[in-house]
Amino acid sequence: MRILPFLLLALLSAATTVCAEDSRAEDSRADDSRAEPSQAEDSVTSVAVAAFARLASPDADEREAAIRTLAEQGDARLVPALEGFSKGMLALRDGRPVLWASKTAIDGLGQVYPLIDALTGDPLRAADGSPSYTDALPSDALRAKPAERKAIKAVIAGLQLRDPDPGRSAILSVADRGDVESLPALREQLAQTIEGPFVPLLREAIARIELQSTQGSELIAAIDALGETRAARALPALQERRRTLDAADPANAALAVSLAFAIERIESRQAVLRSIGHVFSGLSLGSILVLMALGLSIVFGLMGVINMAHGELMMVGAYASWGVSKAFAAWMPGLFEWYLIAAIPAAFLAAALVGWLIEALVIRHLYGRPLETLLATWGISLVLVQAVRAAFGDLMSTAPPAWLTGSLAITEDFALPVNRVFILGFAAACIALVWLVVRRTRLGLLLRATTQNRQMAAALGVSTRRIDGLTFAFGAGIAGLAGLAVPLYDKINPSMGQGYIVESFMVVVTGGVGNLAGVIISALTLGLGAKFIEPWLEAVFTKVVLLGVIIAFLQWRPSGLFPAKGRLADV
Amino acid sequence: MSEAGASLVGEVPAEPIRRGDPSATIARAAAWSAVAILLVVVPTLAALGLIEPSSVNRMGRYLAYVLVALGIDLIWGYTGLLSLCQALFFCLGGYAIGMFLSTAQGGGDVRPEYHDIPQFFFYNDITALPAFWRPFTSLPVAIVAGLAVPTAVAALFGWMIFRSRVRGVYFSIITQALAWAALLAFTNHHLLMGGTNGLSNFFRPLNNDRPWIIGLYLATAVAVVAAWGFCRWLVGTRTGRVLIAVRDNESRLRFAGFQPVAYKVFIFSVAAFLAALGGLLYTPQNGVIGPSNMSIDWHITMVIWVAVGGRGRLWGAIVGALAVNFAYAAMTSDLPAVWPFVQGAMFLAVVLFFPDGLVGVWDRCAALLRDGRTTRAALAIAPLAALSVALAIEALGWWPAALQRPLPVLGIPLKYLVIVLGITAPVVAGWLQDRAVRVEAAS
Amino acid sequence: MTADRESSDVFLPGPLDLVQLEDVRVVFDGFKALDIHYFGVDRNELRVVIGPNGAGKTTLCDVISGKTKPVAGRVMFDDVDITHMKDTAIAGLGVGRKFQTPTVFDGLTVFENMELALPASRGVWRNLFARISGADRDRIDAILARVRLLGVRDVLSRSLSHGQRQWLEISMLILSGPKLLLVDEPAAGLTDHETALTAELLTELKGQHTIIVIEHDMEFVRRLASRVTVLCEGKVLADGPLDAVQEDPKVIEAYLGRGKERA
Ligand SMILES: Nc1ncnc2c1ncn2[C@@H]1O[C@H](COP(=O)(O)OP(=O)(O)O)[C@@H](O)[C@H]1O
Ligand SMILES: [Mg+2]
Repeated sequence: MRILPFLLLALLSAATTVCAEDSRAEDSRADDSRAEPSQAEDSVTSVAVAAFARLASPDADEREAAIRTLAEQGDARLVPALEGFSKGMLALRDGRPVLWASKTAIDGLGQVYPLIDALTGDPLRAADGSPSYTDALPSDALRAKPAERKAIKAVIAGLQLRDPDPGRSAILSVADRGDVESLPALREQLAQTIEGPFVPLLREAIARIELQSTQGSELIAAIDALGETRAARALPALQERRRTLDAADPANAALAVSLAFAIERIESRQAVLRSIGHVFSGLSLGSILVLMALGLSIVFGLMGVINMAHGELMMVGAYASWGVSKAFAAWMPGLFEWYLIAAIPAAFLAAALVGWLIEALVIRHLYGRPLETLLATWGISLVLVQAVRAAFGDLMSTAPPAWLTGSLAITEDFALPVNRVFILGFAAACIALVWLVVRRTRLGLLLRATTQNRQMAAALGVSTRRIDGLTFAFGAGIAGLAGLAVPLYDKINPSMGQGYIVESFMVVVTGGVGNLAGVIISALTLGLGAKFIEPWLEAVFTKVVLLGVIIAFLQWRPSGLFPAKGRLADV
Repeated sequence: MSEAGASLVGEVPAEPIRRGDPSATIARAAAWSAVAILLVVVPTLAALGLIEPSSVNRMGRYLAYVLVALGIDLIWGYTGLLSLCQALFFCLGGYAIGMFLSTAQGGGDVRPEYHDIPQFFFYNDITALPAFWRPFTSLPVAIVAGLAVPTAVAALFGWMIFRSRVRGVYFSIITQALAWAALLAFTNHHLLMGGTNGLSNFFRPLNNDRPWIIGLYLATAVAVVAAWGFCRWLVGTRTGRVLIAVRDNESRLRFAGFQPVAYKVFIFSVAAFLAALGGLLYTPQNGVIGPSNMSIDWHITMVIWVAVGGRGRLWGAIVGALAVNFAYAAMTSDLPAVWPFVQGAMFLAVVLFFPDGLVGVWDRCAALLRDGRTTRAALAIAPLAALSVALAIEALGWWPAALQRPLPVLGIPLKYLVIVLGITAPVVAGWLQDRAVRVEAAS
Repeated sequence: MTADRESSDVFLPGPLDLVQLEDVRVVFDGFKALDIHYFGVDRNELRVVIGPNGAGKTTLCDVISGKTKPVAGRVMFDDVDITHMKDTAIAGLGVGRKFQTPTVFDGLTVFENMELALPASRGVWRNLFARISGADRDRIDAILARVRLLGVRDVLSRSLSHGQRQWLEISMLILSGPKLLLVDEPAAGLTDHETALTAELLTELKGQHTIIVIEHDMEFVRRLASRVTVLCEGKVLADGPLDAVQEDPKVIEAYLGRGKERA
């Protein structure tokens, strides 16, 4: 029990750091999008319209000035227009630049060019409001002179780089192409950017281009820079370099050392990231198991009851959460994003109610006969599965709220799926709840007393029957909460519980019956073990191996990690 | 002080079965007629064409289940160890014979376009029989392996877990984990055992041609009778008594100098052997063996056969396996959605209200017979008799068409009404008679 | 011989003792249940161990029969160190035991219970083909007759009364003919009449068997007329004939005083 708080702390802090990261990223994005439209409409567009008009001038100086003006706007929205200008697909209509978009097939017209506003991207409308098309290229196209094309290209690259989000992909694409011509723009950009997420990206891009295009000490500097930034994207190119390098040539010695060092640095970074990923997915797999096994273990430890219907209680929780999501979608679509908040009590209470009924109607009559409870609860599970199937049909899925989809970029090259992060945090919260209930409430006190010595507790006036009922309902409720988490990453169906029950029991047995810390440790170990073995074995064989390991472990410690003590132990 | 006798001893309830007892005579007669029906009557009727081949085939398959049930009764009913992996041993036996039957040598449906080896190998990009399959092209090897491998697995696994004193529900949970691991492994097609679909495309006549069907049925029936005889002998030996002692108080047994581990390993292996024999006989009659034959619910369902029949008594296991399966067959064809409810109710009822199962009904009847209350005894046994008749008709496929017709409102075939009436009427009559007796005694 | 030892120092080891516990300590969760400097029982001696509830008497039996392992010390039986041996192996050496709460095999008849106690092979294969001999059958019947269980010979032992179960367990112990009999509270829950018979049985065995009897009932202990060891809070408090022990002020304070008041 003593390590429990630490575990909780670790889980919680991991979850909160991740969440904090997430909200920060979201904030900055929100700021950008709020600022953008007004700026674009007011100043940039009017300046751009004027600038494009000047591009029609035959005077080279005038045109150069116009291009410079456009570059100074620093707005990536100008990129399509500039590209059109460079290719000769741009013309002025009513003083505004219009773009001949790429040819598409339109019914009744054949292959035609849609005309779009070069600055907004909106289709150009005819008088009746229908989009306009043309099958001919503009005769009065604004066309960059060959000498100007290079300048335009640099401007485009610069604009793309400056834009926060499209910039990222632009830098990457430039680097992927090994575009030597963009090097000056990249260098200039780097010189201007003092700090921020683009600095390493720019450095990496420059070094990657240099890797392809330079020799001697410059090349070595580029390789060192790549090693410095731990750039995974450069790994194939570096490895290719090393493969083709003539190692016998003494002139290449320094290069070879640099290469080896850079590759080694990048690879070790990748290994670390991979392990973190495994740890994370192992923890999130384990956390579902923890939720399942906690209730099971409490009930097993307290009453010696083998609850085979525990998986079905989880299923009840999942269906309750599904029902809540449907209700929100139907009646309060505006609040749909927040249905989980209502689903948490719903799942807990639904499962707890079913659990309480099971205890009152069946289990109560079977104390001291664990094998019989096993069979009876299995019968209950059959009935529950079939009842749910009859009522709701077979396969259900519920759309998770939008904020639970996608992934969180923790660093440039590492992201975590949001739903898994949520599940981890949720599990940690549930564990904290269980711990509080067991350790800090009166119910928990009575529960522990009854677990340790039923007769004595009864003699002291504890209504052990009531404690049993409440405990069973509480354990069931936790299973219901586990059920709530499942639809966030998987479909639900009436027999979903059966896939979890065997492993949950193994967790309980390995951890030591009735021992919460043991349950948590063994569940998380199992989850982590699964994720670390999986890269070598298929998921299915991984489970086989793990079950084998557990059985072997029980050879060594038949009563689990934390065996129950005292005379009760050998009952 | 030293005189012998029971004079000082308190009142002693009588033992259930004693020689010279009318119920014992009935029991013996019933046992012999059951053997005669299984071995002589049914094959004759089938040969004469009075029973549909499909019904004979079904009886054969269910008799194969009886073998498993006998094993479960030995290990659970007698020794008190609830093993939840018997279907695994059943499947190991089944897979062994299935391997033989799906190869060319076993008459399997192999084709040149699939390199004359079982067709599923196509998915593994395998063009020649894998090395570990090759021995199974011989029938004797397949049979010996099908019996020896599961037995050895049980012995090894049993030795490992019993040695570390894994007991009670822990044993159940661990066997379930073993079953789960095996299920996952067999579902994977890299194991080269047909993956999710299992093994099929056997020699076609096995479950299509009458002579083969009757032959396999007969083989299974002989195996059941032999296994029953073996189990009877086993529980009658001193080893059989030690098994019961293990169930009753294992630690006490250790202080008497016995090694419970040895007995438990022994009985676990015997049960596995019987299950494997069942699988060996089941597979050719079923035409397919796959992971679905060892799903988690199967293991527990097999236990419930024995619970329904009455554990700790061999005929309980036999009757239970047959009764539950024929009930299943009837209900899944007539009322498929209802079956899981019936099954769930069966689990609950057997645990909560009838811990002795059908055997308990008979015991009550036997007690009444000994008291000389013949009418009451007849009423007590009548529900069991009604159920047996209904199941026998179902087994033979002899329901008259009139009873098969669904009732207008409920949509349930009429036969269920007849069965329910046949079971409840004597129960009610018996209750009424008991009341009458009590009223009489009071006045 | 016995008289010889009675006068000697109680804590002096006797080299001929069949059972010897030396510096044995048993601890449960930090609670010292047993802490014995020396406890020995001579061959063919009947030794009575008394002591208040929770004194560690049952734990003493547990240690000798291998049910509980001491944290320190050495347990010798018949010149063999059994401290770390398995319970089954110890039983194989000839230590038989009757538990405090009578434990017989409920699902077996009285006769079948006795059959399992016969000093025969304990192996699976042997027992598959074992036949009970006429002589064994007669011996079982004789013992059953002696404890008045012959009339319920073929009855399932689950339906026996408490006293009958006590006797059945004692009969099984006698039948198995161990070198040492550990008899934990044989008179618990018996009527006076039944207690008398039990005492008679044990005195009959005296002289041919080594026996350790644990008992509360002073009347019963007096009937056995044997050397008594008093245990209290896990320690040997006194040792000697009952009368001498009863004089001991320490014992009076720890046990008899309270016992007498109660009686
Ligand atoms: N397995 C055990 N775990 C914890 N405490 C035990 C165990 N066995 C015995 N004890 C404790 O050791 C003490 C001695 O018990 P016992 O030998 O049964 O006494 P008695 O003399 O009444 O037979 C008691 O306080 C008992 O509670
Ligand atoms: Mg005691």
